[in-house]
Amino acid sequence: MSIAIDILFLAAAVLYVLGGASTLTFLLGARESPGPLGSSALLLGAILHAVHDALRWSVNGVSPWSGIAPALSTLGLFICVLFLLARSVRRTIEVAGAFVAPAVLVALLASRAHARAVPARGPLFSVHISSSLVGLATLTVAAAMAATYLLQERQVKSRRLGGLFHKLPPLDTLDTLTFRFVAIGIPALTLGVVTGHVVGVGLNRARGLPWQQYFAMTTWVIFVGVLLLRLLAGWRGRRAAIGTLVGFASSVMVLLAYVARGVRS
Amino acid sequence: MSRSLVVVGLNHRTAPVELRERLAVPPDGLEQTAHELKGLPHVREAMVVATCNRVEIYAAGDEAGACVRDIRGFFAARAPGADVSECLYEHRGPAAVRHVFRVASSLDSMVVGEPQILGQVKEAFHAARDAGSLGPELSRALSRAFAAAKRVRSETQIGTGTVSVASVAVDLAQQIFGEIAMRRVLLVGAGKMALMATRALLKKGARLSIVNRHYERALDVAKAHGGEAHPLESLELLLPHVDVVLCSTGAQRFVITKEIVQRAMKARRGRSLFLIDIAVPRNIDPRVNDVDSVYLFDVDDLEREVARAIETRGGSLSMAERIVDEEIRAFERDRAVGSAAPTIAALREHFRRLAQAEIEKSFAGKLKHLGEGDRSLVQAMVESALNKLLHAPTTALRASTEQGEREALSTVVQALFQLPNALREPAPEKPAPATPTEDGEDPS
Repeated sequence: MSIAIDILFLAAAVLYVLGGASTLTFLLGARESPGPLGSSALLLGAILHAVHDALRWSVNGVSPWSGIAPALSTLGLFICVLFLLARSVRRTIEVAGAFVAPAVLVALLASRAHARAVPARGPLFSVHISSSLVGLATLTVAAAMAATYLLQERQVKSRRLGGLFHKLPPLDTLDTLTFRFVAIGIPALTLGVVTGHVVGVGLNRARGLPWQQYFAMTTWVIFVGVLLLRLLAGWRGRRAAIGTLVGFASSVMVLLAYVARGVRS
Repeated sequence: MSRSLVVVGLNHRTAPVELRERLAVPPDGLEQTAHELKGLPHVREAMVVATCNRVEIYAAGDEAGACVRDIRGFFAARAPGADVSECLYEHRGPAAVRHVFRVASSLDSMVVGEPQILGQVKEAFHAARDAGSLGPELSRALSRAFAAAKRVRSETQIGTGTVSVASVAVDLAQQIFGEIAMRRVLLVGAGKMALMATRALLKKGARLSIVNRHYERALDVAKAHGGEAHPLESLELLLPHVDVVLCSTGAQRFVITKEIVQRAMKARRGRSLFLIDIAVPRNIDPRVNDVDSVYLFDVDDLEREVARAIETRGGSLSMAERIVDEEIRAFERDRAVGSAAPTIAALREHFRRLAQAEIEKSFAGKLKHLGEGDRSLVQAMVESALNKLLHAPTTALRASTEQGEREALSTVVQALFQLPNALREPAPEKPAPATPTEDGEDPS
């Protein structure tokens, strides 16, 4: 069965590469139409990825709560599914797959890192992991939209209206989607940070909170700031996109910190 | 003898608008006209494509020349006293097929790539089908032409390139806002080019406000286009509430400055503002483009984009022509296979009957002692040998794409094996398929 799991892992990875490369070649001007390959490859990749995670859970007992490595795999799957759902509503955002596919691929590949398994720590820990994964996946898709926004905004501001300008989605669509994904991601992230804090305090009573949690709180503050500034001070467009990307960079730091800790121990 | 496709018609290049108006066929008259055409002595199948730029009759008949003469007479009768003949063009056989494919793919349109023509050809197809004037020849050609048009639209950017300052303005607004419907456009001044761009935006569902130094002029434009008129002094008050600003006044200084826009953006709470400055000298301070979420384009930017779009369309055009060529080749190939089918079927049936007679004779005589199993083996062996023997002539008949070559080969095969003349004894005419079936879709 482990061979089947390995094959599914490889097939999903190859499909993510194919999906990302297809969208990228369209963006770089090799083709005039995106064609169905990019999103079809991502969809098939997500299906195989889901089967891979399910088999690993049922056969080897490796659940998303077993450690940072399997959690990363689930994170990648969530990102891909969220993007495909958004794309099914707004077809014009297809090209954002060029940013989403690498994030999904990296999460999937990182799930093979030899990190230590985490012992079962009760339902609150599971809630912490689950809500954090949903929050991070949503905010990653928001970051993909923000990156695409900045790319398109650069084209419009510099009045370079070549192929890329016509291939990228409208600015307002990207800005609205960035806002919506941030707004949806924040409640999940909030729950993840709060439950993480409670679990962390319980586990580290003597040593104090691990420094990764301070990173997580910083990430939360950035995203809440992006949301509040938009609602209260009209921070839209470029500033909101940059804020979202800063928040995403901070969330990557949190994940890297957890991966480093998992690999070390 | 298979039917020959012909096209007879006139368009914006060959006929003045007065003549096109006289020959125009309204959408609800397409069916009746197709029915009348089917009644002409040498026309077996007919369909009428009528747009503001063209009136064309696609038809099929046993003799192309006679069919064309009938249609020319039909045109002349519809515009008595006019010299219609001089304005008509005609295409026969492969040239007619190519014309149909190019028209459906919008390669023959006045504005190449415009999307309406495909819908109009499909409408004509439906009318002909309802009139009962559609036969296998037209039906097959149109099905394939629709498939070609679909490929041209999906595989090239022929329909997306923009070619006028007005359409560039719409294109830019769409790339900034997505949907233009219900967006508010502010027209400052009333220059000709700005008015054209405004009309293009209004067609997409935008709403209009106008400010002008002369309030009466603003009122006139508002009345003509269904907008609201305001005095020029209201400009700053309106900026927070509009999405697109088209500026074209005769002022010799900036009418919209960076400071005005910065104040407006505070009130807009960061919502995007798209400004188009069509005036010379410019009416909008270029530094406005430095403000977040504000996008300014002047007339040079727009004209540069027009030039780029025309260039892009040129590249797409050659790609579209290649697609049409491929689809025509595929159509001719399918057609050749289809028309050789009766000879191939007759040849195979002739051989099968001969072999079966010999097998039965042997089974009744020298091979009488064979059991059921052995008899099946002999039967299978003979069938296999037959297939191998017939492979080469069948392939040759199928591969002959030229009509003359196909008929010559068929005649030789019929003479050699004393087959009935399949090509001269056509099967009863099948009704046209209900819809083109190139991809299983209804053409509508």
